[in-house]
Amino acid sequence: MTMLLTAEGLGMRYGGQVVFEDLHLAFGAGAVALVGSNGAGKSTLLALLAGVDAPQAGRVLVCGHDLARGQGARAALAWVPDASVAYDFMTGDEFLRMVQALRGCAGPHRALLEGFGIAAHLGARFGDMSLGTRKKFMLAAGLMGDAQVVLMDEPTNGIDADARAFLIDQIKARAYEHLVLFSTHDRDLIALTGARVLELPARDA
Amino acid sequence: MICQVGKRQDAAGFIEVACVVSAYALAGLYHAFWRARQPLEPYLRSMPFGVAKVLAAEHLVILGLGGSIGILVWLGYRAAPGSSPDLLSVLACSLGLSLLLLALLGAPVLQRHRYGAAFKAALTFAALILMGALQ
Repeated sequence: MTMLLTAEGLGMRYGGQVVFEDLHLAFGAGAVALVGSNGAGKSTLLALLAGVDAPQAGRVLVCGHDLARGQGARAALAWVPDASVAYDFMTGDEFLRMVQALRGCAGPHRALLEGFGIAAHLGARFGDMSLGTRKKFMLAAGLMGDAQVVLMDEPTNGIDADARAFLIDQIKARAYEHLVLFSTHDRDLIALTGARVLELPARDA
Repeated sequence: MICQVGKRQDAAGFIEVACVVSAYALAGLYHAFWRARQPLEPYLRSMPFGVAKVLAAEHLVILGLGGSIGILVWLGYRAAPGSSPDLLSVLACSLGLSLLLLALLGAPVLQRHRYGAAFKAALTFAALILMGALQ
């Protein structure tokens, strides 16, 4: 199996507290659910794997490209953060086009927009959108462009049942050729996507 | 206004001060963009050259705005009755230098630096002296 995402000897500590030490991971195509209690380090691990934060030790390879060297690794991944981040003055359509330009990827298919129920909100400004609609735009931005590795932080937070069902279909459809790694507390989501479970141990306070 | 209200021999000085002050005022937009970008920075870091591309776009917008205002001022002065060719070249030179100053004031290190505001003021003052020396 071709490894799409590899972490070698990852180490991270905050204020003297060890979050990870000598963590080794290797994922090929498939759906993987990252689970663990609050504060276990799920979002931190996703941020390291997405290149948002640099690990204090070790390295991350995406499709064989080192995240710390060059931009090849970033070109192969898409990250969906838990918080919906966008300029408030931007419309949904402008946000998607900005992400498309920054990632150098194809734009979203109509089916993706309709599946998440955001086709009607393309002209709305982010500042005027509900949290759920913002989240759907973040998900559409992550799933457009066919990235080899899609990392999602709590993807079902705040979205409605129809969008959740569509997301599950998307994860299942992509898992054959891509890696979809997501953090979640939603056990039903794990069961419905058939995702492998990667459990992070709880940290001592 | 310079030709009608002020003394013609002081006009070059007025133009230089106006150009430098405009550049300093427009540089405030860098800070506005920087503040608006802060929540997005982690997201941008996950994309190839994401932060650098957005930074470049912000510079283009602000320099484009500064350049457009400069061109309008230059054309306006050129079309005004009684405009002198000497002042036209002073105006063009000052506008060009103020654009350079504007680009310098947008340096990311100045946005992040603890004493960024002081450095910006010093740079602006130095640019004013340089403009005066070049005329």
